[in-house]
Amino acid sequence: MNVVRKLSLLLALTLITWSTAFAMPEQPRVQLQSVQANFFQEKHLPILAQPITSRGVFAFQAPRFLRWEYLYPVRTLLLVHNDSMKKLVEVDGKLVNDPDLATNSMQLVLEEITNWLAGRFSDNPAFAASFPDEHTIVLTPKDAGLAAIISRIDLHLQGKDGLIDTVLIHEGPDAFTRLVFSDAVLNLTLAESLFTAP
Amino acid sequence: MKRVAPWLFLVFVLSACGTAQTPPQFVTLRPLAPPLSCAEFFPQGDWQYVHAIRFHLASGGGGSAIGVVVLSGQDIRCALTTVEGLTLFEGRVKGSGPVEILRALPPFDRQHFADNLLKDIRTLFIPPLGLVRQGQLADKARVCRYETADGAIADIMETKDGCWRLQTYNPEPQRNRSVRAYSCEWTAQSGLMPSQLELIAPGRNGYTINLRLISAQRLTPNP
Repeated sequence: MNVVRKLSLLLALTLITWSTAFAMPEQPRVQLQSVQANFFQEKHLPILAQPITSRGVFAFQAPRFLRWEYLYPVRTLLLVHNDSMKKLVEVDGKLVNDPDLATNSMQLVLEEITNWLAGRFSDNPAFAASFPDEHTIVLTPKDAGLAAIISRIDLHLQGKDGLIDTVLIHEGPDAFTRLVFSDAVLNLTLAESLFTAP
Repeated sequence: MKRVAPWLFLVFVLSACGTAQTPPQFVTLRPLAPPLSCAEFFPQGDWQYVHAIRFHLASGGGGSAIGVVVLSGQDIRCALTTVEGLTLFEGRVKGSGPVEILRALPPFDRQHFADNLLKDIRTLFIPPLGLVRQGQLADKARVCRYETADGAIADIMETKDGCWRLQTYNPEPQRNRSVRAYSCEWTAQSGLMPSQLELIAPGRNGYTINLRLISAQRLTPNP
């Protein structure tokens, strides 16, 4: 059970991090204070005639404010405000708390976020990073157990700012999740309440 | 997030040890004219359904997931994912054969979970086993009654809103299920297609699963 919980949290929150702006390690890093963007998600499975699509919005503000919100097909909201985190899910038209986010999982995720934003891919204990070209980062799980669940992650960067454009999370043959980001707005001053309340 | 995995698991494990339920008495069925088409309560042909799933345990707790069901002839394939896209379970069953787990994270990798998941999917989307008779209950609801040689009964009834409900009465009472379909649309291609389904497993260790239809896609059979 811990595996699923941790992976779900890791997945949700590292996606936030991947979607924020950073540059290749050998390049000057974008001075990121905040970012807001839309995302479109496709879930592909061998059994699916068409992928499952989701869409939502996210916001990040340095150093540790995050808001990740699915608007369709299921409205869920993940809020990270420094060391506190909560997840809400829509039930009967209202957002209600999903109360069992474990403290240790939150700590794990926040450490991941810190590493990613600093561009420290090699510091990530779970993944080895490689850079096949100037627009691509490939993350490979170090642990065989994790590799059975996520075989590889591809991050595609676009533009001079090195904004992440697309994330591909490969789970296995013909099973992957594609996240495409759009309409990114950088370095606006965001209201703190955005990260604390629906 | 924590709730998704353990509660889904518990739902299907606990279903095997629910509280016994005594079937109520049935009134005599009376023949109807014109006959009700029992098959039209269920999907016609091959379909892929994607549902947003919300579940609650009678003992407390619950969670959300995305469910995929692919009906292809006598075969069923299914998957559960988190809202964020992580695959929790993927499996298939061919005809009346065993459930094959294609991909699963612990604790969904247990055969008991897979078997019970597919039983609930059959209850929701596949006509019950047994000989079918048509009739009318005391409340005037038209009913299709399926009965097997071992005494298992499943009644599927029209509801006033043009949809249906289903009740099973099994020799093993803990296996009983109630299903209510809402917001149905009828087409010749699909039969009665509900936008929402609610499945209830009664008892102290029971559960309720609500499914909201996200997409329904008719599949073209392979040539």
